[in-house]
Amino acid sequence: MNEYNDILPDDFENLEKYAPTLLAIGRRDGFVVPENYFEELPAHLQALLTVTQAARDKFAGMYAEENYFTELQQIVEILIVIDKAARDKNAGLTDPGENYFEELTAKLEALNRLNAIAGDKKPYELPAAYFNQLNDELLTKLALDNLKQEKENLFAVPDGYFDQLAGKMQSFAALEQMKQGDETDVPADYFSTFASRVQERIAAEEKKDAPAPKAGKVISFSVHFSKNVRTYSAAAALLLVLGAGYVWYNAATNGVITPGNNIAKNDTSNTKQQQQVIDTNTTPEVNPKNIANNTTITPNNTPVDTTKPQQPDLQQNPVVQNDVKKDSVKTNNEPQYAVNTEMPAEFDAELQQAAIDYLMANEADLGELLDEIGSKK
Amino acid sequence: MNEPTDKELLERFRDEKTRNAAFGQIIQRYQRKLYWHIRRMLVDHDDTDDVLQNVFIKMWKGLESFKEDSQLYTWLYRVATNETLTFIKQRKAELFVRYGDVEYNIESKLTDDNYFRGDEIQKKLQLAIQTLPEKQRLVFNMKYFEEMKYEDMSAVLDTSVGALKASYHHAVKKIEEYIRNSNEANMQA
Repeated sequence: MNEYNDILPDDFENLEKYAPTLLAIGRRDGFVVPENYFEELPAHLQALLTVTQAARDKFAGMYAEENYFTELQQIVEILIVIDKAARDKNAGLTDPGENYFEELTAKLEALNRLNAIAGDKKPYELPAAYFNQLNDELLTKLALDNLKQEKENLFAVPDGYFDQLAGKMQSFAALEQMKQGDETDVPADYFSTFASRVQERIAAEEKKDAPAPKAGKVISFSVHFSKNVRTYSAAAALLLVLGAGYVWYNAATNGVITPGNNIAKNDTSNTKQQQQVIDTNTTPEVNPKNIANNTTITPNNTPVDTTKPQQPDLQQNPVVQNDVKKDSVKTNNEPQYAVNTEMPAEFDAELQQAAIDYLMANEADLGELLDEIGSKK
Repeated sequence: MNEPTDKELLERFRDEKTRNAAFGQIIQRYQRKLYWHIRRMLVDHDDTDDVLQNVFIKMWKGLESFKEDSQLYTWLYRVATNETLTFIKQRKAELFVRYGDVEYNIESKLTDDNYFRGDEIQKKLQLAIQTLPEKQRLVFNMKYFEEMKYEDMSAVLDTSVGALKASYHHAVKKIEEYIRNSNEANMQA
């Protein structure tokens, strides 16, 4: 009380000071009660209590039939079986509901007490933690039942599976063996050193197959050709055009080509490879039949039909083989041969086209080139 | 003829022959006080009637074991108070689910109640009282309307007299402030 006296003023009940408005309202609350309410209330309550008492008496007079509790045990057992069967039917996944086991325990314990009163033993005494484990046991049993029912479906094999199994296994074993062999047969650093070993072997082979000192110089023509095939082709075409023009000019003026002045001159416009391989002091062996048939003799003694447009040798055989024997190309000092100086129209057209391609590829100016040719002439 | 004391009524109640008569006398003696005690808390007459009947039925059931450590008057008030607070708690839960606003429901009850004949200022006073916490409301009603002594209140509510005084003082100031503000709002409107 003291703690409140410290904060309460002495005149805390002075409504005139602290609550004048409330004081003005007064103690009227405006509530009324129904007429004769208080006069009738005692009788009403008495009647109510009489009814309540009658209900209590009726409750007290309740009785159980003879053998009720004995039958109740059987009923509960049947209910448990039915309940279990129902849950099994539903795959055991239904929730038994909250407090189900607690309520069931209470029911069974109540039943035990009744039996104890009746002198019976406790047929429903439960092992410790029975209900804690019951759910897991039911789920396990259900899982086993499901497995049993679906056993055939679960372990079915395709038709002919076992007939093919042995062959499949053998194939698989063979593949595995091959796979393992591939992995284990390669020495360490095999692939990393492979390139260098190949190069060494190539070098050894080249050294071994190297030509005699007097043989022609070996030129790896393929390298040049592969790099500059277009350039060489165009250049050869252009040289042939110029050469053909020169031949045509000489033929127009002399009508005869001598080996000394023509072939040699042509050789100067030919590639170095040809000059190196072919001995210009010799003349190839010429079969008169070939000449009669409008054929010319190539350095490797291959008859060529001159009536057909011919590609330059460098285009047809860009690589001059090392095995070209000196004896295979022979020249002699026999007199001049008549040469057909008329160029086929297709040949000229192809040469011109090759020259144009070269010019376009090298972005050269055709006018300048023609002027240069003219000035040389 | 002198009225029997509470002690005499209790003795009669324990005698099965005179029990019903004693019970009727106890009801007649305390029904009005208990009714208004409950009514000022619940406002509605029907609710009050239900609670009051429960109080007397409990009295019937429990009076046999009443040990007279306290006065019958105090014991009955305590039963009535507890029943009332229990009823309010239940009703609040229902109203919260339905409306979420208990005060609105009380105001509508004051308006619709056939057994409220108060004017606007009295209605304001009831609304102001309903804004108080339940225990403070009990203290205010018991002191302001029923003019109960703090000592008796302390026995009923099991609270110290000093706390009751402080609670009452705070309740008075809150009600005064509520009514003033309400009046000012009405004047401005």
